[in-house]
Amino acid sequence: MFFNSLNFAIFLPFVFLLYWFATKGNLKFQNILLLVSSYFFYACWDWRFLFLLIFSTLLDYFTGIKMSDAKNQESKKFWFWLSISINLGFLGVFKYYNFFAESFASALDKIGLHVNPWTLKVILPVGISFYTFHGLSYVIDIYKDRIKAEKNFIDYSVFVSFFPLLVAGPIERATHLLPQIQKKRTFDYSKAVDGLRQILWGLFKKIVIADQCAEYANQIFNNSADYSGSTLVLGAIFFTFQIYGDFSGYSDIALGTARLFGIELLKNFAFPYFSRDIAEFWRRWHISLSTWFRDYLYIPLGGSKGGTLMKVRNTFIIFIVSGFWHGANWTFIVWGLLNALYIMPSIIFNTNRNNLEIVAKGKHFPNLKDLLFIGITFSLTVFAWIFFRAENLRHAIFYISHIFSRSLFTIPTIIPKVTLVLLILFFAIEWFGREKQYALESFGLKIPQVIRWGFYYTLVFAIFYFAGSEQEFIYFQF
Amino acid sequence: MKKFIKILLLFSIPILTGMISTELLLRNINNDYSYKKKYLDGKSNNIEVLFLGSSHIYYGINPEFMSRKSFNGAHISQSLNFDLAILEKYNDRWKNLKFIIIPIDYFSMYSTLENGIENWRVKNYNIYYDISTYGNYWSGFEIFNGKLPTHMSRAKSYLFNGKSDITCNQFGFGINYNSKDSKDLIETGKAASKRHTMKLEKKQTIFSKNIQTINSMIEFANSHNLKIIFITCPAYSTYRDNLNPIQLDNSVNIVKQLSAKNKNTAYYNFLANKTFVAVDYYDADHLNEIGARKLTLKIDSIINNNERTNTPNQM
Repeated sequence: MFFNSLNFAIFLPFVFLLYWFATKGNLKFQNILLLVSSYFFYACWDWRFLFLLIFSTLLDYFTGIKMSDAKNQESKKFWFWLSISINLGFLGVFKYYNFFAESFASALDKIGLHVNPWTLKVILPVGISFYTFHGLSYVIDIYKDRIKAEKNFIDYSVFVSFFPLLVAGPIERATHLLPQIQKKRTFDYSKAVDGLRQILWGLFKKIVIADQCAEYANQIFNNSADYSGSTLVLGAIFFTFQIYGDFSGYSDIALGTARLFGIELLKNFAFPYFSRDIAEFWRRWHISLSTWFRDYLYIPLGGSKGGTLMKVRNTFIIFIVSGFWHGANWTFIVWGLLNALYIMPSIIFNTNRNNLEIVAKGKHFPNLKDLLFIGITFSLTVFAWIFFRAENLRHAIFYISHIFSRSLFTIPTIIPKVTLVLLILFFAIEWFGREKQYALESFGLKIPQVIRWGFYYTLVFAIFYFAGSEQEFIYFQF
Repeated sequence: MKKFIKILLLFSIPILTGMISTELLLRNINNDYSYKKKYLDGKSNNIEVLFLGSSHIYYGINPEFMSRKSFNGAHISQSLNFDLAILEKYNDRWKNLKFIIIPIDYFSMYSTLENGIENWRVKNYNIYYDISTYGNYWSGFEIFNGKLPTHMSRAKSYLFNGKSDITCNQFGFGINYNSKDSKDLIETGKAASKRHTMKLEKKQTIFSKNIQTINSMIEFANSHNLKIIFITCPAYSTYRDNLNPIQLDNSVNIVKQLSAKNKNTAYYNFLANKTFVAVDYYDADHLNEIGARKLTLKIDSIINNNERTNTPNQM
């Protein structure tokens, strides 16, 4: 059940009404309802993988309690590593086994040893990377004595399976979400309206921006040999907006949906394409994953405490692992590596925390210097996305080599005027809303309701106008 | 909470009103599906030869040139399971039916309407044919299938110019693919062959289901004392040359096997038939009205010959 599907349009109001009316504010019933609806939501993809989700939940729930109750460090360590190895084992089998088997066979082939690797014919369970990371953070936090194990199984299960975040995040932390699940929730009108507004903006980003850009990005990437360098550049730019509209649109819908139930999820995007350097970009893009890697990988590896060399090493490690987290393909690893290289100057010269505030805060427009740095950062990001989108490394290299040809200076053969106008309007709204949680948060709140509603109706009309067949969200495959 | 529900309902009223009125308006526009359903409702007991299938038959067979009472019940992208569904819908009303013509083309065995990119057409069978076996609840609505710009343009033509969506003649033959507007055969050949070429390993289940569907058709024909003629429609060389030989062979071989096993079936392969030349094509895989006349006359002659000798033929 996708967020942009008609089924979800029925599912959400149904669960919402039950949640606020049928449970009569009883926290226990509310959580049971959230859990049942989350399992139903997940089972709509493939009910068989529901068992995997339940198993993963049970595993972390029990190992969490065992660690908390452990009388000595040895026993605690045992339960910790049991949980970590089973969690990563599942992820490894479903997501990475075929990649390693095929890569190993290909390496042997190069030295003249031909082997036929035994590969698994299974589909990747939707959201496995997200809920595994949920569970891992919980187990690690208990091991490090940051939190106590949750004894209430329903509450813990809602933490892992809460449907707005179940399949593509944000990757939550027990310290942030569990207390909200355990606290009595009362209906808040302004929060609910804000939730709906964020859902509307998320749907607009997904259906109008991402899906329109996807049409051209797919056409250009799938037939890259047929297009000029300038068209290939345009294709990469379209993909840049596709992935942003797709994933940040998904996150907006998730956050808005959770807010309808009185729950605040972690912010996942903060206008990353307005970043002035790559370090800022990574503080604004997929924030819940970046901070996860910072807290559970970068810092345990020593973080920035051991001097420049250690910082460099640790940065490379988290970017490569982050690339690999996205999928079992060399393209993702190179994408991660490229981003690590991009960020290196600011790591070495200690300038990675130069741009903590949003650009041109309190002003309408940026200065020329900021504009130049936004342009450079955006171009670097576009270049890296080519690896992310390409079918394989050969395709990415072919694509890039064709960009840097004489045809780069010709007029692109594809110029979708409507999509370009939409992108400019979108960019403008994002720019003027950049100091908020999401662009539409306070957009038009000071103007008369009739005009504001007119604007919302325009967005709704645009969503219907550009909607076609349901398009899958890119991050569901991760 | 009450305020929230009230505001939400207030906000939704114009949207819901717009959706309901668009749905009603679109359903009011006559189209090929409503026309053919009406035709079959009234005249299925008179039809002797029934053509089913996809656009290759829709644009490729003009029953006007048949010597027997015939009807073209094909629709764009209509897959084998929908051919069978139409046959079964009028189960007891095929009083005079003697021959059913079913195309088995390059893509037929590896596709079904509900699993392809044209799946938005499933709604037409739900709404206009009352065939609801395939698709989901949402495929019972016009507005949730297809794109809004198309719906708007249909509604505009209907409201302001009184135009219906019917694009076939009274015998069900599609009249929009005219020789005057023919497309580039090289470009369309490449594009269509690419579009129709499947990743076979991912389509095995569909292939098996389609074999079952054909077997059900054969059983249906047996029980009603009918003959099924399977054909592979002609296509221009620019299309043929770009096909995956495995996909093509698998499709042709299975239909050959099935028709060899059953006395009431025959198979004719016109894919590379040399009598069809460039001027007969609208694009590389669809005939125009000239080609359609040729193909119709050929089928007519096969049927007449079959009736005289009463033996199934193969080509």
